[in-house]
Amino acid sequence: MTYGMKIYSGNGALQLDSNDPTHVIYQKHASGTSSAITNVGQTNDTLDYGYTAINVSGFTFGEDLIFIQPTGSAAVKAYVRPGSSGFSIFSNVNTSFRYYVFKKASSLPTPTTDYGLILYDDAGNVTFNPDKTAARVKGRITGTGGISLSGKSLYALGTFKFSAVTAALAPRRGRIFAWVHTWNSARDQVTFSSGKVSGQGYQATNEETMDDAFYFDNSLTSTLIIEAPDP
Amino acid sequence: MTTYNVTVWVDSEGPSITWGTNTTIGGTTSGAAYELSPGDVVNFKQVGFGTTVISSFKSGFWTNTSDITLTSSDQSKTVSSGTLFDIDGLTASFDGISVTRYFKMGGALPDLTIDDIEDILLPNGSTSHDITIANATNTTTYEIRISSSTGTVVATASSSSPNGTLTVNNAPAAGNSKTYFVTGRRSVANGGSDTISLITAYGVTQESPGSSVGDGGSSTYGLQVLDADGDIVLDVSDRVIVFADHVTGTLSTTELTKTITLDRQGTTVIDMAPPNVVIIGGVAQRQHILFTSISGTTLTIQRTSTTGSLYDIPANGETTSYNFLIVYDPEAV
Repeated sequence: MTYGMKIYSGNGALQLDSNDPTHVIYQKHASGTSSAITNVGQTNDTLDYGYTAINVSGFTFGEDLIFIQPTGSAAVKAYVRPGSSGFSIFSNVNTSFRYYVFKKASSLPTPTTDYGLILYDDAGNVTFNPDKTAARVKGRITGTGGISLSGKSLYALGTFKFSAVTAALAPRRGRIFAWVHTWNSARDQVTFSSGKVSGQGYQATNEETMDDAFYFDNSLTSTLIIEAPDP
Repeated sequence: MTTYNVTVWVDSEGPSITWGTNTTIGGTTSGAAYELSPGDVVNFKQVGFGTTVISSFKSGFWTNTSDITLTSSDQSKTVSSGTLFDIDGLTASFDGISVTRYFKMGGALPDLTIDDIEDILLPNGSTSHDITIANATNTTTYEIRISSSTGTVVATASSSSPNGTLTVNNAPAAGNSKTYFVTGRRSVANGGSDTISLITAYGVTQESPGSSVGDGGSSTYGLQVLDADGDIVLDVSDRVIVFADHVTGTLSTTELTKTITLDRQGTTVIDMAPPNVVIIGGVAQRQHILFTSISGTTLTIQRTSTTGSLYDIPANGETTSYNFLIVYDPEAV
């Protein structure tokens, strides 16, 4: 193809590219607000995260992206585990969450609008749909870090990764750590870090067996932060 | 007060005497004497044939110093309130042979019942960490050690008021973790024997340095798309997410690392099927906990071990499956 168009962001990040059939951006498939989590627990003075499950009609495991944001005004930590027909949100606070599910633009229904910009690839597939909110990236965090954008409503990618499992000598018990997102009360600031998610680590009977239940990796997990309106 | 049990095994054919194959109390030399405290009770009995006599119960060490002719039933001796560090060697004799085991008079015990100490996750760049000691007693010296419960002391709680925050000027390197052992000992001046006892242990992990990439910047030109409700679909200040690949497969019983070439470059990896249970039978399932790194179109999948237990041999390695979604968010060029 010797014609077509490319659209760049204000600082030169490629947004749309009609010449590259693999440059298919993510756009909104579904959104909503979950039921409130009610089962946050506690083991050995450590919170065990509670969870709520969300089924999404038309969800495609292995393709769709999930972004979440807590409701309410308290600082909240959370992460997401995907499933075959939706996902579960885990959190340290009994609260509900707003969520967005994004699909590849080429997997969404054909645009119905009769105005605006529709982008097709060479094979006639839609690679940009003006009907559907794009996953509007405001930051990518790798390892510990944060994104703060005053006044913007920020959502975080549903990603999950264990970071450590520890052991303690009986009668004490070790802990389980994972990467979690933490929102401030205004939800315009998101930090990403490893944190305690469960008090159900290993209970060792001697120093030697402590090693068997200890796991830690120092790899740097990445997450994406987007801006989106309330569903 | 603690009760100990000593069983003497006698082989009349040999003849031979084995002192306490089912117990560890009693040192084989005076320098390795086993420490007992006033009020402790030691039960003695015999298994096997013949008649063994235990003798040399020292006056001032035991409340009763008469010899014991062992039977298959327990016969007890009680430790007296004798002189600290006094040594007594007890001799088991039978048919002209004898075995001696040594005991040492200990003092009052340290207070080992302090509150639990939580594992700690340190921000990157930390060189120290703080712990809180609660329900401690000032007759006990509380120390933080590394390597083992008898390792190097890296912090000591205040002797006069051990409760409160204790700063430990020691931290693991970035991206690593370290176990710290909390021990207690009661000094001679406080009526104890200064013997180190393990109280608990806690882990400290220091985070690796992170990084971040921002949004699409700002400009007076570019594309802004609104939907029918007036909400922004795409703005000039946005970056976007592009599907890169979805990869599934298995790491073999011997693979710690696997490299995959993606359909297009990626920046973020989402584990679609992380393990639900991370401890089974007391063993961390580290063989199923995967981590990844990505560079261009190269995805590297890794695990810390092919086995669960650190002590399993590699031949016992397990397969594990992976299921990753990879996306790409183009940056400014």
